[in-house]
Amino acid sequence: MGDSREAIITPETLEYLSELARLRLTESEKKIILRDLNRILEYFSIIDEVEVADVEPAFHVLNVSNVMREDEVGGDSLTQGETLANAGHKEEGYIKAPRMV
Amino acid sequence: MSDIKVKIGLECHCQMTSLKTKLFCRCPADYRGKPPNTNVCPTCLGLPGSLPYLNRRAVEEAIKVALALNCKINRRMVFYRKNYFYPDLSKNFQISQYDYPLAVDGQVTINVNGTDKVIRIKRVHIEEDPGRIVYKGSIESSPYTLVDYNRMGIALLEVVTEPDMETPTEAKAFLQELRSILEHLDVSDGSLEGSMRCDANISIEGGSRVEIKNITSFKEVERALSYEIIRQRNLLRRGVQVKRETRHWDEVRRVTVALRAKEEEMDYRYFPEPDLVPIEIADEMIKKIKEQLPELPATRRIRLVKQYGLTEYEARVLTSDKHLADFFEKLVSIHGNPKIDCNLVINELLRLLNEKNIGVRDLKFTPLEVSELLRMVDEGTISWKSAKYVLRKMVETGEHPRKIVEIEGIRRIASIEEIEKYVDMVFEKYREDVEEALREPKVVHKLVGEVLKETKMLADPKITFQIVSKRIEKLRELKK
Repeated sequence: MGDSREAIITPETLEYLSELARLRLTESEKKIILRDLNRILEYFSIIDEVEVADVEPAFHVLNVSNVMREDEVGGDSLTQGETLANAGHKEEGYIKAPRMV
Repeated sequence: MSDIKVKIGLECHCQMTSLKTKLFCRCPADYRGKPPNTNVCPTCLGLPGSLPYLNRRAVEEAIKVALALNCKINRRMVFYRKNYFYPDLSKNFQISQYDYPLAVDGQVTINVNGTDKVIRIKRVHIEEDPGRIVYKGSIESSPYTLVDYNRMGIALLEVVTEPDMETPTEAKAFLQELRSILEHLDVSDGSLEGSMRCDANISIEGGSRVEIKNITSFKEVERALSYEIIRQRNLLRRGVQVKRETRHWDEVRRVTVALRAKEEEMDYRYFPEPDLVPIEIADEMIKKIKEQLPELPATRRIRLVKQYGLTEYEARVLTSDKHLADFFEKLVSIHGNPKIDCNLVINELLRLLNEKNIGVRDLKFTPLEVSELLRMVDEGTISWKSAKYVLRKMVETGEHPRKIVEIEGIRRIASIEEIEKYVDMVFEKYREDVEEALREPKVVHKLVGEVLKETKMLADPKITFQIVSKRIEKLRELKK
């Protein structure tokens, strides 16, 4: 894989993506991930060569549709204790979170 | 200034409150009033290993709404993941729709000041409600937030309009009509707190589009939009460009607040939800649902006018709230005087409801009791004026009208002799007014008012007026 080819993911795009994913990356991690992401996407770009103009888009790997259930209450609700078991910060049965607005 | 063009589009979120369970799991849909974080399961929390399982009735109910909004139903709909990090969703994405939503291209006709206007519906889709964020104290001062996931996963219907509204009043009219349609369909109960919320897009000529988020009830919409129009106009007047941004409606301070740039340029990275298969909506299904559609507000208005001889305005006021129209029709079926019954419902009763900020279903009496009240007026036992007073007491106490009348000693004084005694008293007490009334006929009304007050409003106003007028007439003759 030569550097001469234009990279799909630029350092700026990576910066943006890590922000969206709330990941703080070190400089060395950025280097590795940038290289890996471009490799993966280049590999996927092989798909672009396939002619798909007449092909229906697939939304799912299974050729199945209309999986639905009846509107009846069922019993795997959790207790407050179970719900909050993994919460780092809690108060009066709520999960504590930073303010956002 | 008022000829600057304003364009308003709405994005309404309506909970399908008639469902028994959430959209993708079997947790009860009735989350209100429960202790925080007790109405959840691994699926709605998005715990590893859980899978969403679509509620069939949610799809059917949503099709009902889309048909009532005159939309085109897509034969295939697909769910998407909308990715964002915000504590109101514990799985960091919301299952929503993007391409291939349930329905597109509908329309609703609203009426403002007697003029019809068509509001186009861009799309209708199904999604899950996020959890509820509770602020410690006010939004402004809260050092942190508290999260309750009981609401998360409730089936939500998103109705998006084209920017076809030009005033806050039109926006309010649209929401009222939408609410009435949803209630006639029995899909959503708008009186439940937080069951109908919306975001609004607004732009005024020469400025960019501004989105207002967090309008937590339909009532707040008019306020938020009016504020925003004034704000944008002031900017334009000072020559400042209105920039494209997202603002937050602060219900307490009644202002819109700009969000930080980071929060507004959301990139949701939508992709098809891999845990849910596409839904194919068959023609037969649509046909079946269409056949079972109940009477909608627009048709009901026409029927009310035809069947009871109401004016279009009266029919419109009644059908703006399904339960109000139901109350009226029940009342007519018992009392049988459409004009009077309608007058009582849309003028007296509605005023009391608005004043007390309650809904028809909060009333502690039924149309049967109201028909008893009106019967007392028909019998001549009490005056119309007293009836209005008794109705107020009924709203306040839930007491039976005949009992209120009995306890408070309300009756209608129609005897000329009895009224004349009060007239004597008033003429004695207000000599100057009597003198003035001889020259100025308008003052007669003041005297009539005083007589009525003396009788604690029990005297028949018409008879009282006749007696007072006659008296003045006589005095005038004597003076000559």
